[in-house]
Amino acid sequence: MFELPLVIISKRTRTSNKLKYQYINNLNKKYDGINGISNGQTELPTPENSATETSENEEVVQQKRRKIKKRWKSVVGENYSDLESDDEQPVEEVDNEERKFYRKYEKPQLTFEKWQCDPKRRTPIQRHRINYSKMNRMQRYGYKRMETPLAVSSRSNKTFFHAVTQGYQLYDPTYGRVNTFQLKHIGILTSLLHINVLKRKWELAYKCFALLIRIPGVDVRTLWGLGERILAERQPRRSLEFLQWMSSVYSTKVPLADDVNYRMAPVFTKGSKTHTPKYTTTWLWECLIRYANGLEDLEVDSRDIEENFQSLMDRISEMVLGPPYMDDPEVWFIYALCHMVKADALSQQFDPHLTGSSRDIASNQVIQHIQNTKSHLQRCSSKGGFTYPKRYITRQLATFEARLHPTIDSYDTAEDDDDNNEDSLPDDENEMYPENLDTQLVDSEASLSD
Amino acid sequence: MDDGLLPQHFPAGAQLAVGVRGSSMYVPNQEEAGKSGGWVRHFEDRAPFDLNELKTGKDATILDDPSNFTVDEDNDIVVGKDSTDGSQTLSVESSVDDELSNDENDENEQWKETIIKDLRWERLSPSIPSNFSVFQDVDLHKDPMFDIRYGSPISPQDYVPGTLINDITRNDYLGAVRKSKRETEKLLIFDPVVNDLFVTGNIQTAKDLRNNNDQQVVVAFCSGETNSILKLAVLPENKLHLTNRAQWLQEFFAKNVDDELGTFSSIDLKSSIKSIKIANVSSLLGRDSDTVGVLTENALYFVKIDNIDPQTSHISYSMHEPLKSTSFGDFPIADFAFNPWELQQFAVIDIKGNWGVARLPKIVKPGSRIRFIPNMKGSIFDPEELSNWKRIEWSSSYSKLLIINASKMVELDLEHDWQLEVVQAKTWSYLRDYRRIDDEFGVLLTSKEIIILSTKSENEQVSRVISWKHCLDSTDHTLRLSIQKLPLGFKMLILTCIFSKGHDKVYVHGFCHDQDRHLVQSVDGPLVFCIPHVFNGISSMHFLPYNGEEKWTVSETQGQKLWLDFLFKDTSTNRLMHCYLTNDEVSHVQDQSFAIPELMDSVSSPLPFTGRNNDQVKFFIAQVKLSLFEDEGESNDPDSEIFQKFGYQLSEAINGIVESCENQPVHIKQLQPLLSDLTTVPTKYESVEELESLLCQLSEYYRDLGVVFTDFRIISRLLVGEESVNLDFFVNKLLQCWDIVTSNSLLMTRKVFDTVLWSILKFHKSEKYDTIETELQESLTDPYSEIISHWDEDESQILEHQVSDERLMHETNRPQFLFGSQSQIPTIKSSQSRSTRRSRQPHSIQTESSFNMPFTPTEQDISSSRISASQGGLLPDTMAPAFSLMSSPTPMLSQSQNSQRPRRKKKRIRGFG
Repeated sequence: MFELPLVIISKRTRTSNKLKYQYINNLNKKYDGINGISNGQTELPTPENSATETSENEEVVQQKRRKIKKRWKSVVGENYSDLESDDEQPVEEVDNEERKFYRKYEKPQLTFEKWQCDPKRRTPIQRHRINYSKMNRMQRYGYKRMETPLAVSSRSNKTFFHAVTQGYQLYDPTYGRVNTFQLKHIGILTSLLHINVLKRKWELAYKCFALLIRIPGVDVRTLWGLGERILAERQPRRSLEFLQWMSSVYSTKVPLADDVNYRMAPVFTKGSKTHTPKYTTTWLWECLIRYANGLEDLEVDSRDIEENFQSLMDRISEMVLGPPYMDDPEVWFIYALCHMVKADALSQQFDPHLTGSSRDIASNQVIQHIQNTKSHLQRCSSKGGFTYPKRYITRQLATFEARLHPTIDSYDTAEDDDDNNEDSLPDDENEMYPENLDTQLVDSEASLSD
Repeated sequence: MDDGLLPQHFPAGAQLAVGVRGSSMYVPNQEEAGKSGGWVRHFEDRAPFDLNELKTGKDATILDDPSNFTVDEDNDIVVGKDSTDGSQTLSVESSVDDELSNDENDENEQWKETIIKDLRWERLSPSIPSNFSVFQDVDLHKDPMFDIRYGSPISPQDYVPGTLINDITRNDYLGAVRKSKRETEKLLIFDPVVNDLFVTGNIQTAKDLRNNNDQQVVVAFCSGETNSILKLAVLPENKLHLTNRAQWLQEFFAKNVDDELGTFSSIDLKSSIKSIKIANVSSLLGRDSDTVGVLTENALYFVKIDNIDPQTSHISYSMHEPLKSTSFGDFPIADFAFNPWELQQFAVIDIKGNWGVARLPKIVKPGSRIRFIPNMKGSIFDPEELSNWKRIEWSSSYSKLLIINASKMVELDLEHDWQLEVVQAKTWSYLRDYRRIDDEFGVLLTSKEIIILSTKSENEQVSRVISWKHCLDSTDHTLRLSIQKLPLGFKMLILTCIFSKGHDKVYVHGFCHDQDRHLVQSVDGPLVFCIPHVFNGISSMHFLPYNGEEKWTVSETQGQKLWLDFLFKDTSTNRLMHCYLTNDEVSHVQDQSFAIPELMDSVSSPLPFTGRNNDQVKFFIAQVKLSLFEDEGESNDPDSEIFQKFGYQLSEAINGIVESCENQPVHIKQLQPLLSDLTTVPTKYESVEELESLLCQLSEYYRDLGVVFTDFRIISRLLVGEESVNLDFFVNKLLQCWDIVTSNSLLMTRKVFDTVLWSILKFHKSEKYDTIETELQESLTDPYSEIISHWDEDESQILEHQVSDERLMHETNRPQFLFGSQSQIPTIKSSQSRSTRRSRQPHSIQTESSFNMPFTPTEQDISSSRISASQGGLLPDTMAPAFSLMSSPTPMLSQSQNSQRPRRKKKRIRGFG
């Protein structure tokens, strides 16, 4: 019932897929032939078409460039990490026809499907319809080409082929799957894992998870979400450690090769030079939210959480120096939120009775954080592809700033009283808010990243 | 806020999964308002009610069972009378059943001969279809579908009289049929066009509108053995709130058999129904539709409900002229959809992706036809898409359509003449289903995710809002979606249920949106529940409309008891059943077993601890725990002493057995006694190596006497997947496994190891098998012993032949596929000889040679290869011409396979240069 956490390829599925894709490719070829299409140029160039085409061409050029780069790298000896070569191993076995089919399509990394929302890509409605004679011509051509491979294929493959080409679908998800006991075992454990997570039996789920990820062939990257959930319920601290481990072990800066037939979608499982892995963003979000909630709680020993929060900000500031985080708007947004949370906390703790330099320091801190928030948000929106409530945030930042000002009035009247305490206060301030140092640090970061 | 309330990636939206909660927005403290800060997340923890509290009702009630359809006598006669060609054969056969004993025997003999002949020589002429299966009993029910001759599908089963089947003995056909049956079972195929076979929806007739009556819930479902009868009934809403409504529904549906009472209208469409829909009208219109659309194999029907009698709930209807698929195009229609903003308009799409928009005539009268609107036609045909599955649905506005096939979703605007491929799913996932929620949202089910789409008219395009990765098997093509909206206070909860034809589990995930529909969130945790009384899977499922809106107020949401009724259809029996989901206390709570029947799987169900196994494991663990306490304080003897004692006892026992074996006949079951049965086995030793050396010495000593001990290494390969060199290695392996599970793994491992070891180690005297074999041979009846003796003759001949020709021996030893240089063997020949080998293998065990030697895989291979060689040797003449004929395609293939790799490499190198 549930998806198995490993890549299953059997001989039967491979051959039946090969037949299917060979047929599809033949159909496509004939279809293009009938309609006089060559090399994907569908219609006469219109302004809209050419606009889309040029961008497509750019993509192709980029892909080529990437390929060449990769080759050169391998020549020089600067090879990809072990993980990547792992990924590419099954690829070499893949049959040609299947790859021929997949090569035509861009492989999205952020989503499972390619989503298109750009109105520029709109084309006029395709009016001419397919009719029986055309379809028949294509099918005849397809079948004719398939005669030889079909003659040597097994009976079940033939049945599969005929059913699929008639437009029917396979009922049985386990078709062609090798029936080994190990797969069976994995299947049972996966079902148990999912069911126990759904039923919130965390102890049992934990055991299943622990067993499952130790089985050779099972990829922890397909299960990390479940693992995070289980750990978060059992030992919240461990879940963050787990995510941190995931993102440090499975991070990569290698671009996703487009001509490779991956068996596993990179959406939730992988990262690349242009794609921040999901476990990393989850880790950052979870850290941020947990630490921020700790900051709120004034009763809790705040020192620990302050440190954690600071270390999180330090880490993000390091991360955004390189790909893929550098170009990921979400990471920048998290970074901005860190500063916003900080600004909120500090502006709340701002003591209106402060005077002199300590007051300046305190208010400067807040303003510094607000500034950083703004600049990071700008970074975020400049990367594109990310939306957030802009006006809401600016309004909130304005209220943070306003918290500093009404105190001026009260400060003027209470100035004399505060004078006596002036000497003692700065020390307290320094002890309570060790981030005095941070502001400088943040400063330098900002200048660096700018 | 135009940017949306929550931060998210723009085209991708929020992508959630178990443990992945997505991005969030910080809500700062507001001292003025006295509110403390917090986070707004895509993942709502504080749901108005807990999804996990939902349980299914204790039982499902069967409402409609087409297979139990009662047929009165008169109808049967009618069939006999007006028998057209189609039904004639059937009626003749029914008479055959009656008179079989007398004069049909000769014919039967003939039948039998052909069948047996065919079964033995499967591939020879005449070819038997791959899905050949026979049924013993013919039950003649009246189904009007047989009355017409066109468009009715032919039953895939071949008719064979029952007595004949009884006649054919087990050996004759069971082997052959079973084998072929298994193959076809593995390749179950379904028609993806078949969508909902029943639907519940609100209907408001013209009269209701005039009189300002509320809408009424109508259920429309298909019935009859071939699903060709449409039935319509009104479900009175006041009855649906009763606590015993399950029972009421059952009684209500029980009446449906006699149409005289009038609550059920049945319409015979004379062709099997593929999909039923009730128009879902936009809330802007403030009314409901009065039309039910039905798609059958060859036409599209529209039933207009004219009036529903308030007293008897009798439905009077009129039908539009059916829209034949031929009048639309060359292909059958795959799906249709009503325009939510205009009741008379609908869109259709055929199985190749041609679509069109048509209009129903205003008045139903003969001759007024459904007309296609001239300019609203087109195609999304994709030569790469083989599946017939298509969906068409209205998008955000009057002129926008969404057209979906398995690998893409196209949005198009009829007014402004554009189309855009919004989704291209060619790589990682496939589209499985789409449901429209209302004017602003839709749900798309892919093989990986449930995606809430925003079809708001202010957006330019359909866009993703939030998605949930469902982790269900992505190769399951039968996943379909069902949705239910529930108002919860100020929020609207959308329950999305995924069901499959492969199992009886329903996967439910919830989403909710607020009143202004800006904030769409996922509700905590998915839920899987198991529907009772489902054998194979669920073919369609629908919730009854939930109209309890006024009952929900903000304060009440917390403790509100919720009852969600739904109807579903089982795939195997095609019964319509009723069940409900509730968070109320169910009187008879059953612990649902999540065993997945998985009919597709040949290995038994994946539920790990069922019944006996469970007990065994419990018992075992309990035992170990007991021994934990026992062991304490007991002083152990040194290992050497234990083993010395054990070895002595063991060898004595073995000697005794070996001696006794010499003298008296032994039953075949006692040929391989367990070592542990002979003496008490030591348990409190420390060194595993010592034990191993003891066993080694034993086996070496006895080898000279012709006694063979089980080789632990071979068995360990079966147990842990690799050959363990020694026992110590095996113990370590076990330790690794147990270490995860329990803290006192050392003890546990030891216990497991002992149990495993002593239940495996056996010994046997190989000579003993000879005597038994002769005994067996003598005990056989004439024909069998003849076969056996002939068998041996043959083999000895071949043996001689083989000794002389070593090359042949070498060749037959390898598997007979066509790889490499051996490809001259003609393909068809080789596969045939393989199949004969397979079928004869059971007999080969009884041959002399295999009894003489211990059962090792290599031995068996050789013996079977000898048999296959004998086949080859017997047909030397037939081989030569086949070889010359078939040789041309095969080398071509092998060449293409072999030469691919080097050529590719070459290209690569050229690229560098």
